[in-house]
Amino acid sequence: MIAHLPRYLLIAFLLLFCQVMVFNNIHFANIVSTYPYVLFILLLPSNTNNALALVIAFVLGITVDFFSDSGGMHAAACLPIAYIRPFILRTVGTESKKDSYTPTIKHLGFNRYLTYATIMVLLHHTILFMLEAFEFSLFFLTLLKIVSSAFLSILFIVLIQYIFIKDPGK
Amino acid sequence: MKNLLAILYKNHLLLLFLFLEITALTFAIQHNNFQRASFIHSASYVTGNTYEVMNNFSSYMDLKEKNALLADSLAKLKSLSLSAYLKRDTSLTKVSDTLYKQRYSYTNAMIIHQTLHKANNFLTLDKGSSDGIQVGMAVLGVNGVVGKVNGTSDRFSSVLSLLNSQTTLSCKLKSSKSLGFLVWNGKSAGGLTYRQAMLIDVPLTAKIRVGDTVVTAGYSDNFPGGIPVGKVIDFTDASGGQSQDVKIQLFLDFNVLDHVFIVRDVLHEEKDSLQLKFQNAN
Repeated sequence: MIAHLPRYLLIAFLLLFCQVMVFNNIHFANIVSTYPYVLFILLLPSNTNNALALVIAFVLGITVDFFSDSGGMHAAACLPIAYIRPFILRTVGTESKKDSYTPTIKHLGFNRYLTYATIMVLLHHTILFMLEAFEFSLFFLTLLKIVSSAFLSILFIVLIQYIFIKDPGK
Repeated sequence: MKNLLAILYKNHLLLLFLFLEITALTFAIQHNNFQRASFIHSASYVTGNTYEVMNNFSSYMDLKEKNALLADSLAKLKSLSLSAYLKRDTSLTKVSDTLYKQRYSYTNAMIIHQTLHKANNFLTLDKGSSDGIQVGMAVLGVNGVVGKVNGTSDRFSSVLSLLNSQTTLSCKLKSSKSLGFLVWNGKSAGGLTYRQAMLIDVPLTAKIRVGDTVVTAGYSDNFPGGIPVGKVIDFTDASGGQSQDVKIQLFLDFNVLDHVFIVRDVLHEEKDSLQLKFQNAN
């Protein structure tokens, strides 16, 4: 875990930087926005201490909150996905009980990874957009926002992996 | 006791999760409800500095348009200055300027961060409490109203944008002098874009025409009166039929906005304390 630390700090910095400076400015038709920074939570090694993962998710979320004037919405959305991550990984993950692996496309395979990422990103976006709307009127508009934004986020998450992360976790 | 500790330890993950989640939700809900209570805003030291550095780079991109806009407003100001007027009657005595006392003072500031597409939008400016900026001051653009300061740090200030569901501003129609409240709600049915706003609670007796100019009434805290805000594009009777709702096209384009003026009402405290003393005390 300690050996991973510098690399994970770098990844966190780059993802936050891109989120705040680039992705936060992407909006289509007042509906689609994108939050690929959750990739960081997806990338945590499978044997990460669960309490540590929660703290990381909280810090990550609150950092994005500070930069996007959104109170604690991102932190509130990141925590549940960090909490359920071990269960999802156990369900979708490979059977081989290696003591530690980094959940990436390379390790899980494209289909398994897509399932994992879709569940996590959908949950994150659902909580985020519900909190932003703060009411259940216009439910279908919010739903449209959630689904379209999640699609774009997952697209970016997959692309980022193909472009930047070579053999992570090896 | 031992059992209790065992249960606590067994569920420590769930408890940690619930604790952090409730903390985050509290922040989020506070941020939604109490605009001034929140301390998570982009005027804080670290985020303010980061946005300032980034803005130093990106502000070069559209210097040309901004120069044109500034030159424009400068020309307007020059045409208002005394030297632009011809003295017609030299026999008149000199006007003593004790007749006029300054009421509003303007500070120039630059936007270093803003949101446009959210349900509640904010801006961050590069002037803060050390420049004399205080919570509640009005923020104006070259051709319209931008918002109201809702938080300051030493060198930055956070502004509640006009494009925020918490903003209300008393305005009036220039032609008929009818009053109304200017509001913006990005979530409302049909959705307002960042170039539009609504004027609500306009009396039924008011005669409205498409194209009428809407100006500030000067009743809201710190906002000078008579500033053009936008023009009427549509109007309907409000539900209940007691008033009219007017849809407005804003003059100000938040998308290209960069330089703003922060307005200080010198007489604000005097006006406030008078109203507090004689109008709210019953």
